[in-house]
Amino acid sequence: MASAGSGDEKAAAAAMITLISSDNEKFEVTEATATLSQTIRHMIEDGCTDGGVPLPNVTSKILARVIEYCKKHATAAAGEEGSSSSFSDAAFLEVDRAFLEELEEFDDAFLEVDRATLFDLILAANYLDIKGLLNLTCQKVADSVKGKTPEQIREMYNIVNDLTPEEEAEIRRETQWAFE
Amino acid sequence: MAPATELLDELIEEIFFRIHPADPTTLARAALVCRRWCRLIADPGFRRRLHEFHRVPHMLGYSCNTDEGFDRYWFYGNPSRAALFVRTSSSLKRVDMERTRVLDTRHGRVLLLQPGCYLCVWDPITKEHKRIGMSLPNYPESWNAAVLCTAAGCNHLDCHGKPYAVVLIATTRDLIITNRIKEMRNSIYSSEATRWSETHSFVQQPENHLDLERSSPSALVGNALYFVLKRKAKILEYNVSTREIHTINLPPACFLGRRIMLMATEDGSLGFATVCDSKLCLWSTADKDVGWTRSRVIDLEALLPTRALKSPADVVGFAHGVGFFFIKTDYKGHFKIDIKSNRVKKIRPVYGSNIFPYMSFHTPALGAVAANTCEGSSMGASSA
Repeated sequence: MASAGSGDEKAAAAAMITLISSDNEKFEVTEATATLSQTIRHMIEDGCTDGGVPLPNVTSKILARVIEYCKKHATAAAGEEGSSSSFSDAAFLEVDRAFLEELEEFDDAFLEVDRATLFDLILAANYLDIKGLLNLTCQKVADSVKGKTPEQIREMYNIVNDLTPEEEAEIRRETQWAFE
Repeated sequence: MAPATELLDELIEEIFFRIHPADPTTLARAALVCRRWCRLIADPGFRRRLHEFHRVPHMLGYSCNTDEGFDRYWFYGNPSRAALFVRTSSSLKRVDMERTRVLDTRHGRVLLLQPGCYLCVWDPITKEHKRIGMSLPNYPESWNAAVLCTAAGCNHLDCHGKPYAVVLIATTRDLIITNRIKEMRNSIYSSEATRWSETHSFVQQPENHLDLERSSPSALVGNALYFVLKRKAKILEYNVSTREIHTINLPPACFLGRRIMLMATEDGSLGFATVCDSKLCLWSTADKDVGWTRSRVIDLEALLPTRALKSPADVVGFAHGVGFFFIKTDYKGHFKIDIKSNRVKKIRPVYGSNIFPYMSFHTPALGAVAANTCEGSSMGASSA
């Protein structure tokens, strides 16, 4: 994910941003990719990205994944803006649909991670304020608890049941309709 | 593996927001996972943010009557045919109701008529039901009833357990022995007072008789309920607070003879839908002085299968908020049309005249639990 683009000509370098993970690994990304993060967008607007953007809450492993997501989705955003006039409506819609399908496939594959990584991605998406990624990852967790019993959910997410039997009985009483 | 508790409360909420609104069961089960999850789900702030996230309640099912023809027994308060609740959410059950008639559905409740002149206010999610005796005039010519939430400041996204009212409007028969005096009567049942109000009645002028269309769904717009009137190209406006009654003329147009479906438009004004020449026409009245304007025309021929429109179709239901219309065709059955996406779905056969969509959020009611158990266990009590 880290592209060693330090030798590029100036014009390209101007549009590049360096992101620095918590374990001090450097990632060079285009501004279009980086600004999918509202947090980074604001830093760029405030002009405080010289010398790289330190992201002390994000490990290199997770940052690499986040950048992978942003690159793909930045291309999607650019495609939407740029190509609409160069196609007839029907052709454009066709291209659009194919691209959206590809994007969906990418998202599905992207989410094939273990639960710890998924949670780290949620934390990173929240910290970096990337709406699409937060939506995608939270939806994945929400879908995973669908139709599961409380016991199954606890097991999936290593949660200890700290409700007393009396409390549990009371909750069950108030939500009786859900357990019939 | 990272336990879920490593996420901040607000991120756990973000996950809960994305549990599909048509799946309230999962949220109820999640409340049993641990104290922290229970506390989050029980929080009234969570409920508010959940509603803001989704904006409109989901359609969880619909109810309908299983007869098309005239069941004169129901008219006198003793329905002889059956009604049906069809689920569209996996967390609800299909319910067959013998000798029952669906009259209205609103704010998470279904209003049913049961034998012996009983109304029943039923909540399909909480399964609470309240039977209410009602008195119809001795010689009813027409009547209709509506149910609505009356909780102050309620946004009507999750009205379960809140106070409600039932509005009953009836007209008496035009009898020679009563000197051709015809009355329109109304009374309101309040769930808080657990009784009916006194009956308001007024005499109708013989040349201007109004009768309510049989079991046609009403619409609630602001503080007013609207009912379809028989034959007169008019609708009845009933102000729920003042209990005043007015009539509103429908636009003089081609829809006469076709069914009309009253509705609240997205901008909160009165509207209606009707099918005219294979087109679903939506009318609205943002300003009563300006009158009716046709706000949208949807070509059904482009959406429905060929032959579906060989005989005229009718609009038989509307799901407020999500924008679903239900269209009945003679040859191809019933269809649900999502006018936001133009997506069409054939729905299972319905024999009755109208479809009453059941729209609701349902966040588990954990008020008492939260007060007794989940509070004070806020931080880190449930870490793995």
